[in-house]
Amino acid sequence: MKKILIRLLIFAGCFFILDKAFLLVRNSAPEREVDRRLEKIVTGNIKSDVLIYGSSRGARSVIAKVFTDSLGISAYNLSFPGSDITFHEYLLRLTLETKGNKKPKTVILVVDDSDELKVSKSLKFRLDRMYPLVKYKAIREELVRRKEKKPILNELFVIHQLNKSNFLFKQKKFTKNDSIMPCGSMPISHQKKSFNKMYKKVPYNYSRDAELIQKIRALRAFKDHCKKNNIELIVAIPPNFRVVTNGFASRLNQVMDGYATIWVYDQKNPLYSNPDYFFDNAHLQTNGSYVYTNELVKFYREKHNL
Amino acid sequence: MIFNSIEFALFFPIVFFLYWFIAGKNIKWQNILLLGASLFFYGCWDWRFVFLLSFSTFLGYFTGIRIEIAKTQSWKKFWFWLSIVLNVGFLAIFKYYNFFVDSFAGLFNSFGMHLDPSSITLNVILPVGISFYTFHVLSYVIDIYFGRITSERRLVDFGLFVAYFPLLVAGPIERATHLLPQIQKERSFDYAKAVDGLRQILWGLFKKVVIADGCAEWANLIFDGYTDYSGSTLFMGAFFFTIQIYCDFSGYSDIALGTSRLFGIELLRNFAFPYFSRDIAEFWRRWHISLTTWFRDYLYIPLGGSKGGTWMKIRNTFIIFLVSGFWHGANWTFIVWGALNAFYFLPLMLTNSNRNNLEIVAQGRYFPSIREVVGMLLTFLMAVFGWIFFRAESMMQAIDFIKRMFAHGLFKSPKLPELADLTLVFIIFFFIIEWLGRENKYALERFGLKWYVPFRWVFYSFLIICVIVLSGKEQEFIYFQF
Repeated sequence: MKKILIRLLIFAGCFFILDKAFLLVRNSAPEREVDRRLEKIVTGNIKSDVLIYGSSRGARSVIAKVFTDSLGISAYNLSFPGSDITFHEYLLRLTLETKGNKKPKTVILVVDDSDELKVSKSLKFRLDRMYPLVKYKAIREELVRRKEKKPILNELFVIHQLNKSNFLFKQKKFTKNDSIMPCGSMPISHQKKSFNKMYKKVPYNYSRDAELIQKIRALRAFKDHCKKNNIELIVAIPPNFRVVTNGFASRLNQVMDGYATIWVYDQKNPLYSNPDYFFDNAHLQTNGSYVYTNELVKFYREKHNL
Repeated sequence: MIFNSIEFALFFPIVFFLYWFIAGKNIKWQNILLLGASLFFYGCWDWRFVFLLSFSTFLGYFTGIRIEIAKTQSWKKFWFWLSIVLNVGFLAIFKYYNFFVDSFAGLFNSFGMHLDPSSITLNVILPVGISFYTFHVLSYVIDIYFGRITSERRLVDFGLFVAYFPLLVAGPIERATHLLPQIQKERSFDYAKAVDGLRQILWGLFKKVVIADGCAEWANLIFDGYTDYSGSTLFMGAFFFTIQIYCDFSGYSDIALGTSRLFGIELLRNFAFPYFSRDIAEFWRRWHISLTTWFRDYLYIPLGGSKGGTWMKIRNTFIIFLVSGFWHGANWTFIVWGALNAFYFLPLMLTNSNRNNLEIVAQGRYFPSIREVVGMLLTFLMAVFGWIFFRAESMMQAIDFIKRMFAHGLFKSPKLPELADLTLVFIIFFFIIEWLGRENKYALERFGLKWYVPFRWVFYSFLIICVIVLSGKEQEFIYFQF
């Protein structure tokens, strides 16, 4: 018995030392990322007055630079393709909690008509965006909070903080669909082959079926962060290649107790039913994004009498 | 509490310490301690389950004695059938009642007679491991009835036989003839056995956390969205599930056997490298051995086995495979999976070729012959096809999955996420180690034992690193649901 206990102790000691070598893997991971926006939040480098949160619709449709060019207001897009409201809520919380970030005056939440509150295969909490940044304590704490990692092991072992994606040592590159402007926006300048160009003129009626309580809570929490910090909240419904879902805006308004301004684009504008302005049925392409952002800026200017 | 949890990582060393340092060599205290730990372990799922387990234990204990001391054959029979009916009855109520109600309602509805099953189905959860410990008790009672063993009078020893925590929730399904004598024998700490146990636990954890959970991610992704993928990607989904189910279950068995060995108790071997089988008969001699032999001894042989005519052989083969499928769960998919395996097995049995491959493949050689490779590949592909039914949530889904697999680009390059490549690398590594260790009880039994100690430790460290990196959210073992 004594022999095995001694051997186990020596092995554990050696293993503990070996584990610390993985700090190199952990700390070098952010360098391989091309999208450094999340790191900007964690390191307290967000200094804009207008922040845009959302999924791919937010990333593609709103070009933050237009705010700066038209109104002289600094704006930055923190929308992540494939992310859901739980992730947006986390990003806003992280932005507000991290020392060094400037508290924004306005937050624009770009929502998905009409999946924002529903079960969705394509929208999720983007854990894959967090693992490259596990060198930052705030990220590690969130992973533990979300039960992705175990608290004791997380404190004891560097290797437990990692994920298999940390062992892909390839430098990531921009792709045709994912390139980021300095303002954080990600417009696309081509059209998807499978884009069905039949514009749907008959609106769907919003149904609460398949709404997820976690997403409703996250949207409420998003609103609460803004309210608590006295931040103006605009919820923008961007164009799909169809008319806006009936009752979706009022459902959002109901969930947010009327705190946010729900803004819907001008549905009478014929450009929004022109397929040349779309990447696919759910996303604008660059020319459409400029049209849409200019309209949003106009709304913002009027709202603030600028 | 599951084996790959922090709770178990705390629970196990405490029990180990108390077992060897406090209970010492006193077998009575060792057994009391193990029984207490087992009940605590089981109660961690749901304390109410402990009552059910205790009832099953008392029932087996009491009826076992009554069968043995019964003065007349009719009383013997009475106690025997009482035990069988109550044990199987509990299993039927918890596991199969709702299935039968839903199936009958479906049948009635298809004849135009409206029957709402929701009014008579039960809202109960399936107690973890009920199929396993019920089979422990059944084998014990049957063995007493047929005079193969005598009844156990020490309640603690019998309780430990039924509830011993390493095998309580997912087997292996033990026999009284194998486990009870070990429980009653004095046990002392053995360094070599303890090291061997730790190695088996490590390999089991690697199989579970690295391979099975890694494959689960891609299998779930593909099965959940199977309508969006090409035939080749669907095949990869079935392939990932094939690896997942083996590594999940055999990984659990390895951890169970290794854990038990640290307490000086050897459990039955449950897997013997089934994916290196050259035909389906060999596969079934190597897959979930404790269940297969249980059905062989307590169902197939009493039905007449392969002694009767051709029709009797066919009947018995179908019965054993269908029951085996049904044992896994109350769903038609499991029954079809069982039937499919019976069809696979039948030609071998009818041509008397089912015992052709009794020895280990390529024994004493590094590489198999071409004939062996072809045999292994075909058997593996048959298993992959069968697992589609096992994994699918309904028969409709299974059939649609298979249709799409063959209809849309089966020979195109599959579309998999980048990280799936890493899982494939791990699978290759895993198969190499399994192949090299296929002549042993488990792959790591002798692997690297002759290496210089630092090299061996580097290898262990590599396995541990993989386990710790990939041990995020705890994934339950698949076989807990059975």
